[in-house]
Amino acid sequence: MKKLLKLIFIETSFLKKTLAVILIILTAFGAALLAVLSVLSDMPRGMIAGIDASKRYYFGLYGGECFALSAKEQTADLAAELDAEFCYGVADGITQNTELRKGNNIFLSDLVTILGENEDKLEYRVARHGYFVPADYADKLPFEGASAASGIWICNEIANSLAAQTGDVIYLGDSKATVLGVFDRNNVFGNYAADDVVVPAAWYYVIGAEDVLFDTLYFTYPTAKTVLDVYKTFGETAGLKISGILSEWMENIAVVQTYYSYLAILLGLLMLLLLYALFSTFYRARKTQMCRFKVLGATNTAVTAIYLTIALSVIVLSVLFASVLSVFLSKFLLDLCSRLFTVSYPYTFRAWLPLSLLGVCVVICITMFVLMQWRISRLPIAAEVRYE
Amino acid sequence: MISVKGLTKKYTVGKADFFALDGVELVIADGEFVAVTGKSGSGKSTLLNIIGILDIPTGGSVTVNGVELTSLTPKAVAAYRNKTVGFVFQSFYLEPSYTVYGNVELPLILAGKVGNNDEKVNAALKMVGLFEKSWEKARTLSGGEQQRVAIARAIVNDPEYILADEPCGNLDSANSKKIMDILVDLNRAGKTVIMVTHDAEDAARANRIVTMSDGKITADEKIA
Ligand SMILES: Nc1ncnc2c1ncn2[C@@H]1O[C@H](COP(=O)(O)OP(=O)(O)O)[C@@H](O)[C@H]1O
Ligand SMILES: [Mg+2]
Repeated sequence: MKKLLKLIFIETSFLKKTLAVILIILTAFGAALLAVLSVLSDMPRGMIAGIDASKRYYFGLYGGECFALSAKEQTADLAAELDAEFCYGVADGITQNTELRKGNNIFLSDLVTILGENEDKLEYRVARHGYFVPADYADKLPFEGASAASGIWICNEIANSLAAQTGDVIYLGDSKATVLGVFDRNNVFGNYAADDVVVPAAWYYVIGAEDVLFDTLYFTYPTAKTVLDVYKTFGETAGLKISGILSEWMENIAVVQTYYSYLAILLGLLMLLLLYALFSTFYRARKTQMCRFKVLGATNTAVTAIYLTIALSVIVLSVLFASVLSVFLSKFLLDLCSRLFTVSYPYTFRAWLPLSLLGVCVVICITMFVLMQWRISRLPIAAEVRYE
Repeated sequence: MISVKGLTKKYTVGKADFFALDGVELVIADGEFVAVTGKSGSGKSTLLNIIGILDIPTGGSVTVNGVELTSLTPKAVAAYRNKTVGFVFQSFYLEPSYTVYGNVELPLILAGKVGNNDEKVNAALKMVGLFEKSWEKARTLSGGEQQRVAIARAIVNDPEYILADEPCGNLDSANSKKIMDILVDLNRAGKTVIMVTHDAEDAARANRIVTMSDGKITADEKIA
């Protein structure tokens, strides 16, 4: 390690700096794009369900963050269209702009602890500051249900956090609603699917719903391959029929998902190609020097290490740069996409971003290491010495 | 001791085979100063490169201190280049952007010696008379000086063998003489020197002259 540092310290040149800058910019741009697209390919998992007069359930998917907005309007439309008796909306971001409270001074705590399936404690941080969320929708959403403006069902965690019971009045911004009941968030569909459960016509308010509900379903039906499968399987198991309209709608979303995955893969490949081209240029420019190091007794690994460390520093810088870039880029791209495809983007993208970047880096590092070892071990030293 | 047996190096150019080395037999005892001469293209550099494992033979064997060179692992090859032999090239082959000190220290760093290397580097630089220029960039030096840096770099790890391929090929006679003096001194200090040259005057300073032609050794004479 010290050996490496010492070598790198003395090994500086204009060429390398220039290459570094180009590499930083390109990697950053690529990584940012890739991150955004990889997020988009992991499309929305919000959910809406409706039940019609003959007690058929309807499910749909929405993007997490914008879901609330769309859900409210679309659920209402859908509910009207289907003559549903209740609508069920799930959203994580509801409290983002306006705080949920009971009375004037009991607010939802920042951290709501939820007991997961295997008694795991899941902590949900309640986001209060909207990112891409219009400021006005949150005020109205859960309190003006499609069928019942008068009341709301809340999950037990929210009930605990607010110390609210059935009959209490809770507020979101200026709107208020009476708590109609408290439900078990882990088993919310189970409740509905059970025989003879009278489903109240109201909005349900739940924390961390997007993940838990979907994942619970997903793990319950491990054979399901797509999101659509999950809901179909659920519907069948629960003895429900999925509405044709909704299936089609869900399929459309699945198509968009596939489309984005392809795009992300393509871009990923393109980036690797680009990096390979850059790497080759770098390699060619440094070939004579690599030979010199080898003549003086450097092992392949040492030579690789010297250049890879330089490349890695470049990549680390790129990632930093990419993080900044992707914030701007993602806002722009996501906005564009949601307008173009009238789909919304997921809340989870902020968690995915660093992960995707990390993944990109790991792939780049491994690829470069393998490539360099391979090429350096085959350096034609004699020819290089002869023609210098 | 270096023992070369039936060494061949074959190049296939188009359909024809061409032997850059064609059954070379040579034994070099420790402490010798061998000059390898011959016309251009006779295979001198190829021989030297194979002895320094910068090139791989197509046939025959080279044994150095009882070890067959082709049997070495890549790691052992690196160690061999680093510690057993020291190479000096006609075109110096320095890192132009490094300082004189940095160039000479390089083999030590590659050998894992990352502490203070002043003692060894300075000794090598004093040996070639360039201690005063330690902190100058290699590219700012004259050709003769650069070659002396290269020699300092070659000896800093105290190798048994110095392999020099036309070390004076790019130098004027005054500078050539300085380089030859250094090589002779090194030989007197116990190093085995193998030097490729086609200058008869330089060759005469060795104690053995091997002449090559068309990949074969055609003459091998000891001089007093
Ligand atoms: N890579 C190569 N391909 C084909 N021929 C080569 C190659 N390298 C060297 N040679 C040939 O091998 C012969 C010996 O080369 P070399 O050992 O450099 O000669 P010298 O050093 O005696 O001038 C020359 O004829 C040269 O052209
Ligand atoms: Mg030659």
